[in-house]
Amino acid sequence: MKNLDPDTVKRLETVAAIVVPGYSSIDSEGRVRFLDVIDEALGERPESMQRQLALFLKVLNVAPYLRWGRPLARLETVDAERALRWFQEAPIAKLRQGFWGLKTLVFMGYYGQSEVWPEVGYSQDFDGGAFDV
Amino acid sequence: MFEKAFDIVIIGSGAGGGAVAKELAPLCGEGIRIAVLEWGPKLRNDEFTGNEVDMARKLFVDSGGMLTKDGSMTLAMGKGYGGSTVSYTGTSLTVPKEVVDRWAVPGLSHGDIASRAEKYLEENNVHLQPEELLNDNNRLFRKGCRTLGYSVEQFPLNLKGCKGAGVCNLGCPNQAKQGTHLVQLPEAERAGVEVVTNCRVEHVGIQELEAVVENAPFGDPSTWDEGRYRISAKIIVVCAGAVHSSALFLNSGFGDRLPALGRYLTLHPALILVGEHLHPISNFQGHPKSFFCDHFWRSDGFLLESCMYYPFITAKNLVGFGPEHSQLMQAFQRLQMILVLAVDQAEADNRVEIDGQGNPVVDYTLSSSTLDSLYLSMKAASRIFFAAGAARVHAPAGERFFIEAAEAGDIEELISRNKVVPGRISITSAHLMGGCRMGEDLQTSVTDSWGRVHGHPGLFVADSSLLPRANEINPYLTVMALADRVAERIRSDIGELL
Repeated sequence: MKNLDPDTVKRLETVAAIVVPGYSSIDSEGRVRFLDVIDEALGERPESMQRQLALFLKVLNVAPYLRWGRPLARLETVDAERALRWFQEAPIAKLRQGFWGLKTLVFMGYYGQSEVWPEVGYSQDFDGGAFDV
Repeated sequence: MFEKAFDIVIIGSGAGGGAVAKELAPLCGEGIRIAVLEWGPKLRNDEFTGNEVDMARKLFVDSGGMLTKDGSMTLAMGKGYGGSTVSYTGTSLTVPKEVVDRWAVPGLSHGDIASRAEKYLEENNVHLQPEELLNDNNRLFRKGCRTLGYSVEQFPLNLKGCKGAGVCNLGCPNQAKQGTHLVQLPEAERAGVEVVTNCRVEHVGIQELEAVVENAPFGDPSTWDEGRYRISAKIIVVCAGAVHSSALFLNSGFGDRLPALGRYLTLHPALILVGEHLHPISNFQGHPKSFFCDHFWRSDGFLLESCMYYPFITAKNLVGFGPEHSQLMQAFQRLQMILVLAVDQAEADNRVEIDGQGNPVVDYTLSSSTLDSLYLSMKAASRIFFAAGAARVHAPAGERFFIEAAEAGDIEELISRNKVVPGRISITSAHLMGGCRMGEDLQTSVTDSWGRVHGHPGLFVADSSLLPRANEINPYLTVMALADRVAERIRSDIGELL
């Protein structure tokens, strides 16, 4: 990884497993592809964005201490979802936007892989066959 | 630094730049030297892979992920040979008369735009797709609108040999979409116009500009060597798009002389709604955008369009995450989609700026009236889904992730205005307009109605940044028509300008 340090990867994967439950059962190659897509996307953006991502993931991880006395990584799924939902609906715009940006990266890493298409029933046929359902 | 000299340089090769290049190309026969300088590369046909992440990187500025200054919207701007005409859906509508009347630009009439648009309708093979080529996603949109008594019309499209690959926004792998990359630019090149790709213009002055050639890791390499260039040109036509045309002028020191530069930006803020049917429908193959509904255009300030996107874009546009989100994604073959375009007002404070490094920054605030339009559009779109037979609907401002068909009568209560909050829902723009708006008053405009920059003979603008207010429909044909005007003015004044 050029743009993701090991701690950020760990926190990112914690969030990914909550945002996309299928991430927990992805194989090692899929995991590498997921991280590569995000790493490459971050590489095209200003370094400040990489720092913001790392910081936001830290905040996400420790914020649940306030309510559950544990970090995000150690919450039950239902509580982890509740914690992330708070950020999605947060009264402070920067927190909502931060979560939206993080979620978008996770979706890019996961659904941006053509290997995931069969799971959702998506396919491509450039050469006709347009209306075979 | 390398040196080059031309009579006319056109910056950008999208709808504006491509049209200007083709219209001026006959001048090459008279010995006039014309170049088009395009920031992005020319992709080879086998590079249109249909992969979202890959094509976003190849076709869009910042991979389509540029954010507004407050982070509330993403901006999609095409880059490369053909600009945004490579990655749009090919919808080709002539701007309505009342919109041009609202612009109130002295010397610019609807009749003039419409007659020029007519030329491009023919040139670009614009036609209505036959009924048998419309997929279920589009037909259901029409059915829903008609059931509810909403006006619905078919989009004229600029296609030739469409095979229904369904990936228009990722660039057509069959080269069926008749953008400037296939029509105007090749014709201009045949006539002698030099198109230079991977060439980013950084500074524009009076009869000179500076550019850098740097090859992208994809596409054909530039015909010029990599490096910095000083280029002289008696006529310069800026067609870099609403954001980058303004940014180029700001970086070049025109801000003090042109107080309206970069201002009055409009974006047609857009969002996507999804309806889920019980059975598979044809949706992701076939042209994605066949119909639009303008029923609410005058009353509530929004348009609805049938649309279909790809897994990542779809996932990002749903509000929420976790099991419900995954469940909806796994129903991809049963999804119907509707795109909302809000008609935003031109405000001076919505503008393009540049940061300390000269990069464009889009300072745009979603107004409460635009958010009202988006709210109303979600309710209208939900009704269309249910009228088309959807089992459930995902609305970004829904009280719950799904609204079931049995709850269709409770849409008023189940979609909340207070959930239409920037940063919570995905709002995007692919129609960026303004920044170098036409007009007569130096305080409120940058060019005259022929695209001539106030006070600078020989310097023109010919792209979507000319629009003084929103186009209120998909703007590509309007941009070509305005570019056609600019080219006519250059041709008629060429004796004085050279």
